[in-house]
Amino acid sequence: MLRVEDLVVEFPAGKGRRVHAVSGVSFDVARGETLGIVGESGCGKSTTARALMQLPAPLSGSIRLDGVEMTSLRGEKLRETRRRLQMIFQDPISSLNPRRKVRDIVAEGPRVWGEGADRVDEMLEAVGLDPVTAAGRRPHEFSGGQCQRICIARALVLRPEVVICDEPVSALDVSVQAQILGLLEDLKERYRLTLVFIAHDLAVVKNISDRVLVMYLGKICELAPGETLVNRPAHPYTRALLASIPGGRLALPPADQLIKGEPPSPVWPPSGCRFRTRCPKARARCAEEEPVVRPVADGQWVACHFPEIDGV
Amino acid sequence: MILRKVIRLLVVLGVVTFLSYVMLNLLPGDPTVQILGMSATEEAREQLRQEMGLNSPLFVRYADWLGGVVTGDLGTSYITDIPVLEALVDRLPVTLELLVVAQVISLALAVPLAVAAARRAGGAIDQALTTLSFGMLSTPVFVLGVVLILVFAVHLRMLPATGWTPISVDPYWNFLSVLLPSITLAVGQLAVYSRLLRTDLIATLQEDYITLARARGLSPRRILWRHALRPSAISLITAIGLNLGGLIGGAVIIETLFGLPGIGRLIVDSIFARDYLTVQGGVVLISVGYVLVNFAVDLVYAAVDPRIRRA
Ligand SMILES: Nc1ncnc2c1ncn2[C@@H]1O[C@H](COP(=O)(O)OP(=O)(O)O)[C@@H](O)[C@H]1O
Ligand SMILES: [Mg+2]
Repeated sequence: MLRVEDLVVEFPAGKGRRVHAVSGVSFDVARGETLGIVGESGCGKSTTARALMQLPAPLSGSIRLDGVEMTSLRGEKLRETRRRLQMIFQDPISSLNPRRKVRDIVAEGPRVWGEGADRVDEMLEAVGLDPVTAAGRRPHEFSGGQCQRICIARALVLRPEVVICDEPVSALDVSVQAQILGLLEDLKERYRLTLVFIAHDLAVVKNISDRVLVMYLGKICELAPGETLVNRPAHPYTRALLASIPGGRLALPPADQLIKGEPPSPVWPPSGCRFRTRCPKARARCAEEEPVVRPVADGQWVACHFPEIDGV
Repeated sequence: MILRKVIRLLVVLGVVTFLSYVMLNLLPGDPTVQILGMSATEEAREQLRQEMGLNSPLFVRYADWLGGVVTGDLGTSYITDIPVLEALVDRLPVTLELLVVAQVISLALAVPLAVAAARRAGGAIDQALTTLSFGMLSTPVFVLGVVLILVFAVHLRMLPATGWTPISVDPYWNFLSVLLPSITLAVGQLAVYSRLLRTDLIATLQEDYITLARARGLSPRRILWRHALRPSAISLITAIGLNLGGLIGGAVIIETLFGLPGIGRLIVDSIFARDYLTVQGGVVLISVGYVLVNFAVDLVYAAVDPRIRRA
């Protein structure tokens, strides 16, 4: 239902230089699916998420929601279409206006759409908050996990079709993370949502995603069903991510043998394959020619000249 | 919190009044000359000094005066024979009206200008406002005041050049007489206020909850006015507080230029007349005003951001 093609986002970095935050990313999301997006911080996950909402709009590329090209929408049309996508951010505290009461926070959306506030209590209950005690209080009186519940209620009260969760649990205590993840899965069932679920930690994403997209420095490395990705990772970067998760099923070498050094600056991305400066398998061709995203197995797509196709 | 404030008020009052007492005594000139005239005999002056207590040590005199202040007695001017409190109460409304009208004018313009500029940071409106505010800031008030008088009073004859009509006498003329001086005051403030608010607004507009508000389809106007404005007002409120506090005494130039009988003028005139008691009374008034404004600013902070109340 959501199709992204050749998305490019750049930011000015002073002195005429540019941050190449997202450079030519394409993927699609099927109705009812959960698409996970992983990659270390700074690789452009949040930028991709915001570009989907046109906040800010991408430099180039196409984003189609049920065939409607979002990048060319303006004004009222954009507002209406954007509403069908909603977002949840990493930091629940700064996602909430500190001055407002919970009821007003959740009710404002429906109100500006002229829909009345009758779903507010239902929504608060659905995310596990007691409307009677919670609605009159302000965000700073709640814990981080509870604030994230408020954010979820505020997004869902607008009946979105796609919910983009940008690291929704990264800022929370481990004990609370599982609760929020469980809640998101429940709500997905109940309201028939399509989820785009972003995390820097593959361990969080792999369990709840149908398919996982691995990003590195603004580019796609690999896109595959969760099971395939975990059992037969094809891209060297995916293997490095998997190796850093404790208790993996594959007998991978330690992570520090699969990836070396620090990520390069997105202002001067490496030529050819962007991962080559850290890749143990990099050869001359990787610097000269940029690998295209190509299918290597059923539903598995990889951008690498020398992928690990046999699994190990 | 209230107790701490009151203690702070007392400390400020003590320090400020003592310092000004000392400084007044360092001024050259003899109050007895002012009172008795140049031709008075040395004997007569010595007698007056005794009566006024000018011969006792500085600290004793200060303690004496302070004792009076604590019981609400600011003394009676030796020069004009008017009770100091009465003189102050007489002049205060002029200065207050000037300050309030100037604040209203500058805020009424600064807020919409800042919002318009922040809406497109670096855009045409923003750049025009930047240029304009540097111009406004670098124009001295007396130059601006004179220009305004020339244009509106001398050439256009729309407004009175100088002088004051109390509101009780004629509200319309009162309004006219406060207009030019308050515009003169407002221009510099307008520049500062709009700059501060613009910068904070731009920072606030980067916040996650603003992005999320846009995602929910709220209109840009609603986001700016309902969501971004109040959290961006902290620097502005601080500046207003400093301005109000400082201007009670600092309105001297404006009051002199426009011939307004306000507190600033009273204090300056009293300094030249060696009317120490009146000057000291004015100092007390300014310090109390300063602390009260501070107090009000803290309350407003808490109203703007509920998280501050806990700190
Ligand atoms: N508003 C912005 N201005 C300039 N650079 C930005 C901005 N937002 C993100 N970036 C840069 O773009 C790159 C991708 O950032 P981001 O999408 O936030 O990564 P992630 O969410 O994967 O951690 C980073 O290098 C970041 O510094
Ligand atoms: Mg991010």
